[in-house]
Amino acid sequence: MEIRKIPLIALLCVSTFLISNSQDSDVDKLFKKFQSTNWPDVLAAKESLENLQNECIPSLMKLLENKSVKKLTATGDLIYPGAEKFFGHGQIIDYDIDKLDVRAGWLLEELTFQNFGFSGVHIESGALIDFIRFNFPKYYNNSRNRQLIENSSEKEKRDIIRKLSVQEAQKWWDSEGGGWSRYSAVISALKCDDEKRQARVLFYIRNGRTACTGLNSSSYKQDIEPLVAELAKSKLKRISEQAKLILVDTNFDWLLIKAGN
Amino acid sequence: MKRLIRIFVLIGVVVLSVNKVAAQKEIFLRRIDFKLDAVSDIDYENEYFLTMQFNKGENYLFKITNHIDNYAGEAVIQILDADKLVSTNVLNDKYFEKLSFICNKTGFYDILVRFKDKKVGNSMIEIKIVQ
Repeated sequence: MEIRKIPLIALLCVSTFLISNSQDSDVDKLFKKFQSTNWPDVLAAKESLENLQNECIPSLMKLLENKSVKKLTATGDLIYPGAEKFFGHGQIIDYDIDKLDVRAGWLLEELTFQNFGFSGVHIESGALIDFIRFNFPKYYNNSRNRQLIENSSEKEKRDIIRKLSVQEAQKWWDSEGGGWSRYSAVISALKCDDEKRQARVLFYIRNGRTACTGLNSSSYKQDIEPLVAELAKSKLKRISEQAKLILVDTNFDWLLIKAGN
Repeated sequence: MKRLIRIFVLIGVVVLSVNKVAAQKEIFLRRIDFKLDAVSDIDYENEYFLTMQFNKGENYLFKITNHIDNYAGEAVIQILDADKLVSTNVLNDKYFEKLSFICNKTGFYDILVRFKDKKVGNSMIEIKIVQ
């Protein structure tokens, strides 16, 4: 009887191995697409990776170390720092996503509602020092670092922001210890004091189409609505207007557009 | 005689065009008064943000009055559908004080107003429907 079971167990093991391998390769394929130069492919891959939520973060952390540049093509309807022409319309992306580490940072910040600093890499040269001062105060307040920043060229300052953003992301991931979920990230961003994170998470609740496991009408009522109601009192209109719109949407239209609903 | 007919036809065309223009109605929807006395380090404090519902097929007109009380800034309007810019009054080096937006999808749109070149400013924007 026991012997008869052996082929069955072996078959089960082989099929489990094959399934897990094919899943791995699906994620790998998505990451390959995400690193391509074709903008529609990058956008589609970004959305699929975002739907994987915590599963894609380890590979994203690896991609943060990739300093190569993949200039995007087919960007006619995209407004981003690498765009050569401005047509007056299109999707706005406030990240220099030709750089692969920044592209990974863009996805990571959109997925986690964190603000590591990746959107500062491309800002105008006159604002770079202030960006470092406000976003990385610990680094800036060290007199040796400050001197280094002040003596740096524009490119070097951008590289400092790039490096510090990656470090912030790595520090964050180490502190999460693998217990991260997108739903807890929503709550954490709604509770935080950083207005960029607040605006990002409110924008996601209103317009986001990607998945967030655990986010449904009852969890919204219980955990999220009271936090959104607090933000509706913000003096920043970008925060308060968005929060009010979420509160008045009693049909939960914003929930219906999300993957998995 | 032929000349007289031509003149009458021309007058008829002019009268019809004038009537058509006169028939265009502008219905006032909202007025935005945006005054920025100092540029803040917090980006969102330098902008005016509001959300409005626009209806498909309607033509919306944004009329900007800049330099109230001699403030330097010129208001830049962005109309956004989620993260997509659908219209703006600045195209490369060209600045327009009127922005016409024909809506092709009913829904909520974000309207973002900032002052050009990060200046301080005092501007008034009237939003109207043109019918």
